This record gives sequence, structure tokens and C-alpha cells, in this order.
Amino acid sequence: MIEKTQELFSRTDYVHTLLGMPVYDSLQAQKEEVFLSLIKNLTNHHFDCCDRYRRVLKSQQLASPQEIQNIAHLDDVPFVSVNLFKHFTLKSVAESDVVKLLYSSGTTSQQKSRVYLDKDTAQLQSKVLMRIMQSFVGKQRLPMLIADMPLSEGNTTDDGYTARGAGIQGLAFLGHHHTYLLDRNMQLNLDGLRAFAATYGQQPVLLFGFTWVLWSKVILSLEEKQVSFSFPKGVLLHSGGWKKLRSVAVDNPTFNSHVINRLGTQKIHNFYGMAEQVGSVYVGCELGYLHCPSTADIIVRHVQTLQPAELGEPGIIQVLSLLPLSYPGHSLLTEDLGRIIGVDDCRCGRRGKYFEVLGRLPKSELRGCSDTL
Amino acid sequence: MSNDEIMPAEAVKHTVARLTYPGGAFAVDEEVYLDRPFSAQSKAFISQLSHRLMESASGEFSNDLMALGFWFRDAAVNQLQAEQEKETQALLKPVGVVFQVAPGNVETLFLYCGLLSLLLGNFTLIRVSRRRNRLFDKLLGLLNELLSLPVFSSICQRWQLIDCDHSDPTIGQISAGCDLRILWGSDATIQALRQIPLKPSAKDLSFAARCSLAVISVAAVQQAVSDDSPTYQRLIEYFCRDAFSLKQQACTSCRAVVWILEGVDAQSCAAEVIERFWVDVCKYCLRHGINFAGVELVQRVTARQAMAIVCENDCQVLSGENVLFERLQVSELSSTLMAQHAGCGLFLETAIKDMCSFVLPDAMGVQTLGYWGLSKAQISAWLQDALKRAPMRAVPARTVPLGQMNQFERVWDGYDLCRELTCQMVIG
Repeated sequence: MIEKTQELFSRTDYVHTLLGMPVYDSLQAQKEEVFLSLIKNLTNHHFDCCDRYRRVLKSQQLASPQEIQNIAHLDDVPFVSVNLFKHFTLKSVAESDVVKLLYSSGTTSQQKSRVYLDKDTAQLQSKVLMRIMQSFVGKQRLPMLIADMPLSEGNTTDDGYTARGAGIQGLAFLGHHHTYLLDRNMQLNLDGLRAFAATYGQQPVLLFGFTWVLWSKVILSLEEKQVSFSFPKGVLLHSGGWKKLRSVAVDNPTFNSHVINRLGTQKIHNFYGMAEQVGSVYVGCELGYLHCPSTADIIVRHVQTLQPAELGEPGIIQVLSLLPLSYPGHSLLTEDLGRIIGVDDCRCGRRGKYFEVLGRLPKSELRGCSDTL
Repeated sequence: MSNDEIMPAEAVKHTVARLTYPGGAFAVDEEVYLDRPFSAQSKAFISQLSHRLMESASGEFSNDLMALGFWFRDAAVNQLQAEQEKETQALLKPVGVVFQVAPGNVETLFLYCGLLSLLLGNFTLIRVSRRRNRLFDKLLGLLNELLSLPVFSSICQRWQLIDCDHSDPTIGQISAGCDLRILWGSDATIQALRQIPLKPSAKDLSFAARCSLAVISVAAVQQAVSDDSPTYQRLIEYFCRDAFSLKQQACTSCRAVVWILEGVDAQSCAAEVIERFWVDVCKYCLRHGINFAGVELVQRVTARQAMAIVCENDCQVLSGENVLFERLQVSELSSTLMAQHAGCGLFLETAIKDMCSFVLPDAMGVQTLGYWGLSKAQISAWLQDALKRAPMRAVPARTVPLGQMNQFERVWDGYDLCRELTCQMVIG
């Protein structure tokens, strides 16, 4: 039996602290001081409550809460591989407290991550997501277009949500009068779009979609039909990665110019996030750089040594989030390649680290008889 | 698999263009498709290929090319023939139509087994993996050059490479017509391929996922270190060859080390020797540009953390300052642990008193056990003793000195490929 740490971790205080931090205003040094202390508490919480996570930490010379408290730098906060969630159930709450189950998109392997959310975590994710997004689109809820099918038609599983479903559900809070641009067969709902444009076309509206879906199902369909719309006061948020777009040679500027052309929306923000860390997303600023919000941070690690990379050097992205209370996914080694552009000095005015994602780590030429496929 | 993961190779198209297998009902015309074992023509083809492989063995992949060429050198083929003829009193006939589904990433493997099949007179069809790299292309280039010579036109008919998807109906057609199907791959791949029916008289020979490990005598290392002898340098070189030459991905790659403590003065002494060993392995890696990167690191971390989760007793990461590979110390090896292993520079490590007390866990599926600092007689005694006890299944089918773990042999996973590829005849 592991002795429980004496109330190191009061959920109410913790959540209160998180929601009180300004999203982008702290200098990295100031932020890290608070962030480190909070993430150590969170690490301890999972050490206490998740037997499997504790085993992992113990194998890495972090055998006690004291040793976790002794961590002096953010770089030394232990991470787990994001793939672990594909192979094991990892949660820090009782089964009866799980209110929601998320599945990752699982694009690179058949196995999908399972992420268990309790009420507090789900609420926290939703609140933090709102706070981050509101800093880009304003506090007022706006009429909203969603470049996907309604949740009643798909993006759910028998017992939970896919990453896309979770994203739609989370973002939908930002808007009202939601119009879904695709039907259950992923065909463009042009009538719906026309009606929406007629009613809200000239006022501020919000558009959201997953990058690839938005491109292949909405933008390309509009081009095929040679139809354009004008949402001059619209804001477009999109996410989901560029892998498929790169395979058809579409980069960020091309994407944006086609969107401007077909939807007349100038304000376009891409954001980076994952099913394993819903809520504390990294939104692209006016200059196109992704910014760490107060509740999240990233570390880029050297591709051969896993040591922290130099500023500007491409490496493997580790994501840290203060939100996961119900599962030990607060510090994850991803399979994404990225680089930190700078710290505290982005010309958009936001403080902290800003970075770009360079895509998935390239599949290596692994040798060996492990597979014939 | 998406397109960006397949490197289209001109060479493949070339070879595949030769594909003329009769298909469907497999009305194999013996005159065209079968040959006598060790026929002059097969031997001539293999001899020339062997020469070309060894000649071209320079720079990148020189070890792989040299090893393959050397394996099929004239002397070796002649010896193989002599052995076979002696065993069978020169009554030999091919098994018939042999269909091999080759693994993706030990590029030369399809040739070891495929050329052996040709040599023994079989009509040989090889489905090559769609994962391609420079070594594979190089091999195909050499093959095409040779196969385009008029003198080898009949080889082209009897020995064919197939480039198709796993879901392609060709796989089913050939399976239905072949006499022996040889499957290499992960457990899942093999299970999937096995669902494709064979004709009743045919059989499957499958080489599923296995793992390999090394036992090393600490006392012997200690001795070698103190002499600072070439022996010690060779140990490091052999170990690195067995561990890293196939990126620790092959069934024969060394993935775990068992230290034999017998003959070491003190526990602390042993720890020092072992540390020194790893430091030198690390130096060797640095000198030879051996490293793991990107996805490999993520796979390694995933596997290592998964092991910590499934490990029944405590385990400890022991990597220290070294960042090229990782070591995970466990109190004993188990199949559960090994099942999580993904190669990519991770070593499970454990120490035992002496060789006699070394028992491999059942179901671990050890392919090869490499040894160092122990005599062949000691290993042989250990094997004989182990066979007297249960579980017999845990006794490895192949034990070789360190440095030879990845070498191909005609007896693989306990099967003599020469026997499997010929039809045994009985004279009553």
C-alpha cells in the first residue's frame, strides 16, 4: 500500500487557481514557477491514484512523492508515451466516476487511445477551452457553422466520443444557432449554408472544422460547384493536422487563400491539440505561430537523445497540460515533430513559448522481421 | 499502407514484369517449372549471384551483401549438397511449388530462403514486402542484371518475385496451388495469412515473432577488461553487431542480457564490470554512428513504460548518462515483458548466480541465445540439463557464440529448411 499524500491536492483550490491565471499574459519564467508547482502536485495526485502510472514512475527513479516534489525544472517532469493510452487503461478515478470516454483518431495505427474523463476534468476542459478561444473570438457567443456532421449522425462510439466528436462538442459551446455543413454521408449541406449566410452573413460568425474535412468536404466541394460565400466578419478555427493536406501538396497559405476565396473569412486560426489533452489547446496567432496557454506548455526534445532541444531546433514534442485530473495524461511524449520559435517575444504580443508543428515524426526505415506488411 | 510509405522502385517493376506464373489451377508443367535438386543451372545462377553480391559489398549494406554472398559461395553450396546427398542416399526431389511471403525488413531474408528453395529444385514464388529501401533496391538490381542473361531464362520461370497487396487475389490463387507456404512476419500477419486456404496436401511453415537474448559471463568480461585485450574489443563489437545491426528489430536481435555472476569476487565488482561494458558499447555506437531517432525513440519509451506496467516485480531504468539506448533492470525475464519489447535500443537486463540456475520462462519463444565467456561444452551441458527438466519448450532451439546471432542457418526455429524444401523419400 502506498501512503496517501496528505491533502497536497485540493481539487477545488486547484481548479480555482487554473481558472484564475491569465491565458497568455505571463512571462515564461513567471509562468513556469507556478506551472511547475501545479504540475508536480498533479503528478503526485496520479502517483497516488493510478497504480500503473506509479509503476512507470518508480521504474524511472521517482519512487516517492518526495522525489516528485524535488523536481527542480519543468524539463524533468516525467512524461509518458502518448501510445501508452492505446495499450492500457490509465485512469486515476474509480470507474463509477467516469462520465465520458474519448477515443483518439488513431490515424497511424488501428489501436486508439482511450481517455477517461470524470466530471471535474470534463468541466475543466470545457471551461479552459472557452477561455482560450474567447481570447480570439470574443466573449459573445456567435452564430456558428460546423464543417462536420451533427453529433446525432456520427463521430461517436458505442460508449464515448471520437476525437472529432469531442472537438465538435467542445467548440460548439462557443456558438449558437449551429449549422452543420455536412450530412451523415459527409456531403455538403449547401442549402443549410445558404440559409445561414442569408441570415448571418454580414455579422460576426464563427466557423469550426477539422482541417482535412474542411478542405476536402467543404472547400473543394464549393470549388467544384463554383459557389462562394462571404462571411467578412467570420472567424475560422480549425485543427487536426496537416498530414493529409501535405500529401496533396496543400500548405497553410494555400489553405488560407482558398478559404478566403470561398468563404470570405480573413481571420483564420489553426490550433494544435489532441484527444489525450482536450481543452488546453495551442492556437495559432495572427502570425501563424502556435501559443502555449497558461494551463499548458510544451517541451521540444532532441530526436536522438530526448534531451531538451535548443531553441529553434526541430524535435519531438512533449505536451504538458494541467487539466487531466482523471487520467495521468498531463505530460505526454507525442509522435509529433515541432520546434520552438521563441519565448515571450512573439510580435502578436502573447507571452510564453510559441512554436510550430512540423508534422508527424517520419516513419523510420525500421529493419527487422517484425512485420511483412 | 499509404502511398508515401512505399518507395516505388524501377527494379521491382522490372522483376515483376517477369512474373508469368501459371495462376489459377496451377497446371505446373514440370519440364518448365521444376528442376532436380542442385541442378547445374541453379548452382550456376547461385554461384554468379554469390560472386556479384560479394563484389558489390562495399559501403552501405556491405555486411548484409557480404554475408548473403558468402553464405551461398560455391564451397558452401557444394558442402550442402554433399550433406544432403549423404543423408538421403542421393534420393532427392523437390517439394514442388513453394510460396514464400517474405518479411518487410530483413531485406536479405527472402533470398536466403528463396535461393535455397531454387537450389532444391522447387518452383519458387516469393511475395516481397511492399516496404522498400535502398538495400532492397540494390538486391533487385543485382538479380535483374543476372536474370536478364539468356543463360538464366529458365531460372526466371522457376523463380519469381511477386509484388502485390496482402489483399490481392493472387495470394489466394498461389496459396491454393502451392505445396509449401512459408510465412514470415508478426503474429498478426501470420494469423491473417493463414486464413487463406491451402490445398489439402500442402503445408504451412511459419516463422512468427520471436525474441533473442545473450548470456554473458561477468568473470570473463572482467578478465578481458583487465587484460585490455583484443578479446574485450571483440566482445563489444560482437555484442553491438548482434544487437544493433538490424536496428534490434529481427527475431535474432539481442534484446536482453543475462549476466552470469559465477566466478566474480564481489557484487560491487560485477556492477563495475557491467557498467564498463555498457560505457564501451555506448562508445562503439558513437564511433559507428549507431543511433535511434524519432519514432524509434517513442516506440522505445512506450515499450519500456509498458514493461514497467506489466512487470510483476520492480524494474529500474539504468541508463545513466547514456542517451543512445536504454537499459531496464528486471529481477527475471518473462514472456509478458518480452512481448512488450519493440527493439529500438532497449535492453532488458538481469543477473543470475550461475548458468545452472538459469531457467528461461516457458512461452518466451526464444529464437536465439547468444553466449560469451562460456564454453560450448558449458552451454551444451546446460542445454542437456535443461532438457531433463520442465519446461522443455523454454529451451532455445538455437544457441550460438555472440557475434553470430543474426547469421542465417539452414536450421531455423528448429526446422531444417533443406528438409522442408525437399520431399523425403523412403525405400522400404
